Amino acid sequence: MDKKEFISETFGAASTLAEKTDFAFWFIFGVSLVSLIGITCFMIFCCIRYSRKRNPVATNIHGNVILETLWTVIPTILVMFMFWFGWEGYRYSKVVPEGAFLINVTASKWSWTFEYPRSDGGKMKYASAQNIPSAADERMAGSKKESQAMVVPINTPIRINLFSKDVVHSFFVPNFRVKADAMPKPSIDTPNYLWFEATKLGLFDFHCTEYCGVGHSQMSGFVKVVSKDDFKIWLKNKSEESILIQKNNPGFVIWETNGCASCHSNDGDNTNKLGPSFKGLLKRKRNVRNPDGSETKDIVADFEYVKESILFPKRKVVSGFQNVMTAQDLTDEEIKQVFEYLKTIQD
Amino acid sequence: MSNGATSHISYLDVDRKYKGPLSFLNWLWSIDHKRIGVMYLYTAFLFFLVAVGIGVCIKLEKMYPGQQYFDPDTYNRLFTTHSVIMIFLFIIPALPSIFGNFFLPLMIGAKDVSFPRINLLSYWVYLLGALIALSGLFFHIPEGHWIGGANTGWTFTPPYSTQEGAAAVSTTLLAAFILGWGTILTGINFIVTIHRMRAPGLTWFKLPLFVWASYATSWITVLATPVVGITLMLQVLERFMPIGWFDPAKGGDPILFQHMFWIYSHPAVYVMILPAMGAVTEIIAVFSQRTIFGYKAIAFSSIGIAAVGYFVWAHHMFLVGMSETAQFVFSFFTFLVAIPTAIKVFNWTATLYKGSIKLDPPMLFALAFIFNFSIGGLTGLFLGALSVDVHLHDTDFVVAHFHYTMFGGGGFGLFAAVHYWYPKMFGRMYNMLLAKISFWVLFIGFNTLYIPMFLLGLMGMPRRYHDYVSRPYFDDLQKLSSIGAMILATGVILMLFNWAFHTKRGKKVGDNPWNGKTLEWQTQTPPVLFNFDEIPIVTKGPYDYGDDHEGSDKK
Repeated sequence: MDKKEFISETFGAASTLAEKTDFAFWFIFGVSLVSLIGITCFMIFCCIRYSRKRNPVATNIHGNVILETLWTVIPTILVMFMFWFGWEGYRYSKVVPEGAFLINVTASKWSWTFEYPRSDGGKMKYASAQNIPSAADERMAGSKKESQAMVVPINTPIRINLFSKDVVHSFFVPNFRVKADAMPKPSIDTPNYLWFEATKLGLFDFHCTEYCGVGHSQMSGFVKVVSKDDFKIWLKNKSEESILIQKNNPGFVIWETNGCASCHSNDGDNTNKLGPSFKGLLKRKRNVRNPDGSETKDIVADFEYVKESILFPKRKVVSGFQNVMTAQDLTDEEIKQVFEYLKTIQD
Repeated sequence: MSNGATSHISYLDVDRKYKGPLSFLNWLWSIDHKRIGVMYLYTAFLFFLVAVGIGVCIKLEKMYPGQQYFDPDTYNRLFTTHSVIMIFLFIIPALPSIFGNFFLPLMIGAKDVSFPRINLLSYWVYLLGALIALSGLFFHIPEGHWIGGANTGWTFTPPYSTQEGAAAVSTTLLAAFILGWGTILTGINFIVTIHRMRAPGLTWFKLPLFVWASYATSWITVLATPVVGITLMLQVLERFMPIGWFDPAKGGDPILFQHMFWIYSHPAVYVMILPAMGAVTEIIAVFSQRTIFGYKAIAFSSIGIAAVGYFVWAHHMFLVGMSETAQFVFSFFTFLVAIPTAIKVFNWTATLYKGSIKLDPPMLFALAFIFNFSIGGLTGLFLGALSVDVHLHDTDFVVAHFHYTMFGGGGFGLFAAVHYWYPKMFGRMYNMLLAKISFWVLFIGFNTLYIPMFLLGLMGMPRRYHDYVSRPYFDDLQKLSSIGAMILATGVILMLFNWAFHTKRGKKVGDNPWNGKTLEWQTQTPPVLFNFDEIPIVTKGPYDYGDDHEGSDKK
């Protein structure tokens, strides 16, 4: 990746809002730069011209009404312009055009789940890519993690409703200049939201920007902007795929879309993972810490153990791991499905 | 007024004959405002040194992508401890308590503050709060570590903070609550002192501008601190009782906490910066050897900043999903604060014009204050503009911005104040050359550390990230920033060494080494126990360098 490409990728505006935001940004930048240079140069000039050697006796000037009025009025006018440009861009970012495509995005410690409307009226859910080692590598390699990007069509208004399962998270796409907090609420009638209209094809990073614990810096992923036709095809395929997986392997869907995957791998690879891998879970012996601090040795996981660990994760913490898991609110039926899935990944 | 070389026993030596193992009690028990100020000086800078060390650890961790020295959990505790110490133990109490205590009575020609015993009590409360805050480090220790502590960030945002390590977080919250009492008591003391204890003839508009700044600061502390005190206590109670104020799982509202927290914590920003502005005003006038330009404008802008500063808190939470009306109002008021701030900067620079400038260490720090604070203030405009804030919120841009105001502004202002008043406090001078060297190391290190963070934030680097996605240029900027942190730390060590080494070994100075015109320079250096042999009668302004100079406008 050369320099120019990199800069356009990291700073580059890629949404309709970004153009408005950048205008306000450059306006403020211009005014600030001129002021800063002006103040600094004047200070340096005075330090040289009126140094004690050159100017041993000072002149007492108590004030100057015209000058003081000017430097009150001019900054006032300038900041009012800044305020107005900022407000205009913001208002634009909050009024969602009619007919915007709705994606529900749910944050949990420490993953994102996207929910798309299916053409048959159902919901299609999948989780974001986890633990991306390097965005640049991913872009060039086009590896499988790209398939877990949030896919959106170009030149189409997209509304994103933000939910959180546990603590406050925040969804941020730098190139689109959009960001909003995902607030946990007892009953979500008015979720926080944002909208954007992407104007460039490609992969763009998104990040979690509200501090949420040990996995905070791992809550990043991609938005993939595709053409409108490609989007239709993708949505159709992904929907069919999700129906099929849901039917054959519901436990896998639960593992993926409830955020389990962000801390527990299914292939034994523990790189950047906060919890033990699920591969071989039902065969391994492990030592666990009880809430009173005592240790129980050589436990082999069975259904009851799995159920307890999902509903009450603080009761038995596997030695060598931190006590950081959030309790998952799954039904008995769902836990059974997860258990069935676990059986399939033991070897 | 006692001028020239008087030789009464200074406040440092009044108990010379009581040397012994318990002689430190002569300090700890002392109700002399000067001794209390000096105790604050030592305590606050001890904490500062610790927090700088932690800050360097944070930057070392971020020097390269991936994990370097600390795991994510430790990293989170590090940045929390760094911010808690810096904010609650250092920058909030430092300037008002060190220099407010030492110089406020001297500058208004009083023998002491109005309530000397309450003054000592507030130091003890500060010490108690500090000890409790640090004791939090020994709770919530994760397996395989030897030290724990809160891991919520200094903002304690629920529900994350109500779900994490109860003992450590509650201890830190309790400490912040107790520390709040210390500052409230100091604030009340200063307000009463300024109202009641001014020397005869010292009218409001003859007050030195540091006193005006301290006055505005004291009102902020007294009015705003109780709000955060009760908020933090509500959060502590929420943990131990089945009450849901802030945790949605218990039926509470996390946004309510953020509102109540920032109602204090935004005005608190001005507690950190206003006294620094006051000190810088004094220094610029003295080292230009001329009267301040626009005395009343500077005095009223202090009050203006303090007043408008109450109505901008929600700009810390533009993204939580507030009503658009609220966004509009809070953004608007945020820009209004910019105006008195700009007026101050213009007045300082105008004071340099036709002055007789000597670039001694205090002046260097004061000029660096203007430069750094201008950057801090101007980048605040980006964050006040709603649409731009959406992009920059919670990124490294914000981190750089508030370090430019709090450290580049508040910190450099404080360093300027120490260099300026050091000879008055100890009767001795630090090494001038070393002070200048440490200034340049600090200045270069500071800017190398934080300018890259503005760029990182623009590129979308979120704050409080233990790890970051590796990219060309991203890595370079992070590395540059970490190198800056090490230069900065070197500067801090040089500067602190220079002060510590010369309190007893430095060259003795006369009563008025900088030719200051404010009252504290019109008495013996270091001052006698009750400051003045006889209470001065004030007839002239604080920066009256005489209108008899050649070419002065006779006003």
